[in-house]
Amino acid sequence: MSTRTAGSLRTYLLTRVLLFVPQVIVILTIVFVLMRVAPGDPVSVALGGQRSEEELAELRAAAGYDRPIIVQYWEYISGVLRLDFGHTIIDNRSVAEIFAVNGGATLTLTVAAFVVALLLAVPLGLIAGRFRDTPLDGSLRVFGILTYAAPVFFVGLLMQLAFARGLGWLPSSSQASPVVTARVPSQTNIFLVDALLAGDTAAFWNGVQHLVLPAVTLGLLLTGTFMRIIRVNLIQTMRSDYVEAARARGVSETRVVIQHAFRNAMVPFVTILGLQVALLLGGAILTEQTFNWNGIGSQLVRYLDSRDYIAVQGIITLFALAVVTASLLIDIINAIIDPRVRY
Amino acid sequence: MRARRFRGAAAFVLAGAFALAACGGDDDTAADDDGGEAGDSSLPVVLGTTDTVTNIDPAGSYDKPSWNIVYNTYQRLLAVPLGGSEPQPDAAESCDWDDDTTYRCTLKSGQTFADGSEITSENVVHSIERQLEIQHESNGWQLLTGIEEVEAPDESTVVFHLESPDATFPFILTTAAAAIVPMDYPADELQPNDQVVGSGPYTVDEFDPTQQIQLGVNENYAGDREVNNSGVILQFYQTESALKQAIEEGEVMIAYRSLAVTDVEDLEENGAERGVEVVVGEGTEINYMVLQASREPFDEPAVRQAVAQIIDRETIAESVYRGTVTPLYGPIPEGVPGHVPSFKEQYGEPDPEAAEQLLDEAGVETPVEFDAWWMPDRYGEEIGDMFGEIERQLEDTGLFEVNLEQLSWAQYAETFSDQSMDAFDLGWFPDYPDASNYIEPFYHAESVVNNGYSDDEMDELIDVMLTDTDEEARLDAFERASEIVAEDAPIIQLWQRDQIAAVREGVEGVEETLDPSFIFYYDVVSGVEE
Repeated sequence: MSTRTAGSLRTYLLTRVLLFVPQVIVILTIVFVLMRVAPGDPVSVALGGQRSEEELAELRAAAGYDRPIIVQYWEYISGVLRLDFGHTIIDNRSVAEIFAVNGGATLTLTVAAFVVALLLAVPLGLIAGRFRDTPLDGSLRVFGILTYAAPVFFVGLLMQLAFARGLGWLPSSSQASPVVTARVPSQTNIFLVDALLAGDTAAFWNGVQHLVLPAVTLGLLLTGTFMRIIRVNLIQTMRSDYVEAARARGVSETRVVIQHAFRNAMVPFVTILGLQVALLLGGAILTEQTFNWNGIGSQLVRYLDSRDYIAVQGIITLFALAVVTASLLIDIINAIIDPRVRY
Repeated sequence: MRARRFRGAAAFVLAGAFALAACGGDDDTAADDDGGEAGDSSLPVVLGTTDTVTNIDPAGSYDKPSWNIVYNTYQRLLAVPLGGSEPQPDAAESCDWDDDTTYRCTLKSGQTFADGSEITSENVVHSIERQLEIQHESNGWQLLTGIEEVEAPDESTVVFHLESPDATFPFILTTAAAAIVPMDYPADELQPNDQVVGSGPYTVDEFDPTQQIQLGVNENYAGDREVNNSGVILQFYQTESALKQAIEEGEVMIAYRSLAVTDVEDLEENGAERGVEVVVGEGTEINYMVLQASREPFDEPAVRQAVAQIIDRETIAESVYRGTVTPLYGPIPEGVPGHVPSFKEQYGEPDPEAAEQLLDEAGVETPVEFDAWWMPDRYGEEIGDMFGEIERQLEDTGLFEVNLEQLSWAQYAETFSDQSMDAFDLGWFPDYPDASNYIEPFYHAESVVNNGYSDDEMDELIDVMLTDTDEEARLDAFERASEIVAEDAPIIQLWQRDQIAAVREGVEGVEETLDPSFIFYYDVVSGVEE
């Protein structure tokens, strides 16, 4: 790597990290404004009719809703900087605690869905690219469009009908059977890890069985996008000079795809991974609802139903920060592995 | 080399997928695959529900799901026994009236809380006083406001001094509001849910109301109830359909509150082949429509009477609820002493012509337009269909024009009592199985529905219900009150619902506990061992 190239990479990384700050501020401001344009203050909305006016006034004062909006904004921003995302109104839990307790379920689901998406999209994308414009390619492209366009809850219901209700192969809801959940002590709040820590392989297997349907459902949402990108990149890579050179040396087409074109076709794919985190988290909310999965998404729905805007604001803030952070990390990885990404 | 690794990984994944399918492909339910413990005699009862539990400190809730846990983890001085309708001693050896306003109880000896501390009369005093001190917004403490003073003259005696005679006081002592707590519960704030200690048949081992609450058997329990299982797991589901799937897959042994009507119907028809049985117990949950008597159009009694004359409860019960509810023609449900089908007696069969005559005689211009409000997230998914049917029945007569409006329960709860709704739906689960609990909260001048209705004779009758200890006099009061509410029609009762549970084959005792007290006693459930 030349000095000039290394300097360019440093400049890129520094710029990208510095851009992270205004990006976060803009997102936090949008979240704050959106939550404030709703009519009424959060305390009245969540607890109005259940407490006296005096008690509501006390709660409003304690939560700072009787202060000027700019003061509230500053308190919100400074709270986020201190990693204090507030306390829920209806059950007085800290948002950080919600993430600690329920985040493990969402993490398990999203990681598993991501793995499913990769396991499906990579081979299918390669096959579609390799057999471009054939009926096989056409079928796979239709499959990709369907998986991307089909609503998550609809796919989830179909999965439940087919594999739980119809075939009876897999359970349709929760992270594990209730009896199994009860016997595994919670240490990390990630059920599969807790089961392994407890040395309970039967519980681990039970957890894996419960994970299959939601992970496949959410994974399919990503599969379509991934597949199409891998296919397009593979087709472009297959036109490269070095691929032609490999062919000229008599290397078989399958080997050309797997050994020569595949790796380079994956580089642009990394770029779009950051964007998919938002899709993944959005899909997780619906998947958790469909499969009674006790993650952050289902908590968000619960607090929305209860009109607990503090909880909703805190959870959305954390979701937004997760997306922005993931996007930053992906950009950094991308810059490191792809020399074309530079300022 | 890399290609070989890739192929190896792919082969591993494929092998895993096939193994998964193969392991899941047998005829066992998912629950049976949980490590091969389906036949383990230590399995607790797993009860699935869509209910929401709030607080299980007795001073912090006034809702059935939370109270049900209180009933299983704490004792009260008195309790309504299974299948009974009269209060019987629980932690008390005996209770009786000294005079009209003094009620004395003597505690059984040798009773302890789950932590080993002894139960004395001071605990009862502490339990009542902290309720009245905390005054939690759930309002359960209001059941105890008739107590002027409670004292403990000695370790085993509790004396209640009431502000006025109250025949229902023994019933009030059976409620969760009067559950007995240890002295180390704070006097002015709630005990955290994961640190509650009672003296009932169960202890709270784990508390996560978003997923699972685990109850263990209280080894120190010295009461009369016999525990027939090794513990209880309450598993929470977000939707009725998820609960139905869970019972079908064997993930839960009992599905209780709430299954959708169509799911109940399906399980009744096809449940046997899936190892599920539907159990129905006598129910005293009611649903009713409140008419805003404080202003137009329902300040005119003839308009209210016309609505009562038209509504066809039989059609609602059959076409909307597929026979899972019973039409209710009076304020007090069938099965509760004091029930009178007064609306049936007053109005007979639905009759639009009679309704038209009522409006004509009162000089009311038709069609009468009003908004009818309902909430989709509180009393089952069928409420919307029911209001659609009510709209059809009223508009088909040409006498009414109904605008249906809906709100989520969170907004509804803060709105229904501010007199902004013309007509609105509500439901009621009794605090205790006494007919007065279906009259006093709704028809007293300061009713919970705040619809502007008041009647001097009704207030006098309510006084009789609450203060007279003569059963005949009380029954007469219920009968006359039922006649008045049918005549004035400020509230129109629509249906009463049985309690419905779905149970896995072999589970026993559920039918026994589905009685009018509306308390699910977990200790009677058995049959989960092999």
